[in-house]
Amino acid sequence: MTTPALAIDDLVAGYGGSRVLDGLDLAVAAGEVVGLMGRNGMGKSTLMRAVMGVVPRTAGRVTVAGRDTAGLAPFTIARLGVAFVPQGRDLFADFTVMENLELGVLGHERPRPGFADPVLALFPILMERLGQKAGTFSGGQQQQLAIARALVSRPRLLLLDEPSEGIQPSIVAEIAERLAAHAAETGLAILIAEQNLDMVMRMAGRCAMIENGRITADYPMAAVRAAPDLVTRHLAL
Amino acid sequence: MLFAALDGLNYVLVIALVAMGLVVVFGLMNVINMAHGELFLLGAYTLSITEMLGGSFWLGLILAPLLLAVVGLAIEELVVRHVYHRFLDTILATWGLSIAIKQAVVLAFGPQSRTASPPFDFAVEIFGAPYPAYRLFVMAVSVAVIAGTFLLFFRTRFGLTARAVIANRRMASCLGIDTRRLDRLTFAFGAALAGLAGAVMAPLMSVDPQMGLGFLVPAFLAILVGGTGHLAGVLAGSVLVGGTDTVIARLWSPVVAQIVVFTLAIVVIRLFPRGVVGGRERR
Repeated sequence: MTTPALAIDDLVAGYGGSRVLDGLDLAVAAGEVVGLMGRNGMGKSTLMRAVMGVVPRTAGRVTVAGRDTAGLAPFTIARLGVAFVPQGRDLFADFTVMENLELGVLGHERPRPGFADPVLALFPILMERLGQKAGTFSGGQQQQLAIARALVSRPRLLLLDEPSEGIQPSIVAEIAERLAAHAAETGLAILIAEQNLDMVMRMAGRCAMIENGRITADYPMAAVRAAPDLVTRHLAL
Repeated sequence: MLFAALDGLNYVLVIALVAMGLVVVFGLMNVINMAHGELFLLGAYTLSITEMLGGSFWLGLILAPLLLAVVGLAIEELVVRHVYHRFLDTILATWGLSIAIKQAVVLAFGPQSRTASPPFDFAVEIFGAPYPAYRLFVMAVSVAVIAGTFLLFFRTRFGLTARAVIANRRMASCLGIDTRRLDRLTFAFGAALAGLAGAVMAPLMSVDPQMGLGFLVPAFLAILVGGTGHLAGVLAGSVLVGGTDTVIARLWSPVVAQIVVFTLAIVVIRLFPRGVVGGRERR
């Protein structure tokens, strides 16, 4: 068996000693897209942040391509090939599109001319607006920029936190399909936290359900397509 | 009157130089460095002692920022790094450090004032009256360093990453930007600016253990008045604080000038809490 891009074993993490994640196990293989679904407050965002090293972990192991990330600062974890698109995107609103893209790569290497071309091909809308300030963009454009900024460093693992939030469905579908194709082509692993089943169905090969800080079910996408109820009943209150 | 304006401009530029070092450190690290005045002091002593040991003014002028950059690195590593997340403690820690540095200077070199000589002491004629050339040199150095700081922060990739860390430290770190390294470099850079300001001002003032305070207070006022949101705020604040001080001191007395400057600062801060250049709300 090859080393997974991301392996999480028995992870406990939370804010101020709380156990938002309470013994969570999850693995994502290279090239695989995994949907992480669950209601609000179940730990989706906390999981993303704990993998990134932003939320303190109290127990368990997180390895990226086989390397233990215990005690590493977020920038070191990023340099292992983990890219993060947080909920709310956290773009640099006063900076131009090009500057945001440069910032995606500057922590890794000196940007070569044309470093952004592959991601601009993925999101052509950005191409015509390289000099525009990110803060002036619509939600959908901002999301594309945030994903592009994450991808310019050619990561092995992409963490997407609620990318469909506040974006019109047609754009969500477009982003989902492009990303899925990109993952298949490049071997990029994607973990996507969502409440929007449509986006997950378009992209993911598997759907992991999170409840009270643990993975309580893990369905192949074919099973979900056959019976969406499998997932929706987890999401219902 | 022309000379009053030139002296005023001189004062404004040096305040801006000192304030610039403070504001890059505050902007990036959210640390108010109360020891900044003592870094200025150490810069002046570096020049004075270099000259005493037979070195030239120019050697001292180059040594001061280099030495202070190293001092800055040491302070960051030994003190500031440990109290980052506790804002008030950074003020207390750096204040304590300022007292310690001042006393260390007294112990090492005595409480008396020293002198530093300018590299040239001729005067140039400006509109028929002589004006010390060295003061013009100080202004030129200040302008060059301030311009260089702007270029560094707004035209280079180092500046882009630094501004990204200022705008959103956590996201910058998640993008792989080494925020620790930037903190170190920025603190060293701020200290070097203070050291350079101290060295370049040393020939114009009494070099003694109390000299730091005289520039720290107006520099703080300049930042408060100008706002921390943008480097340009430092310039605006320095013009307002330094300009008012010089003009009023010339017309009435330095005491009245101090009262007016403080009153002005209070009024401006009341009317523009984010400073006259008022950066927009940031996260």
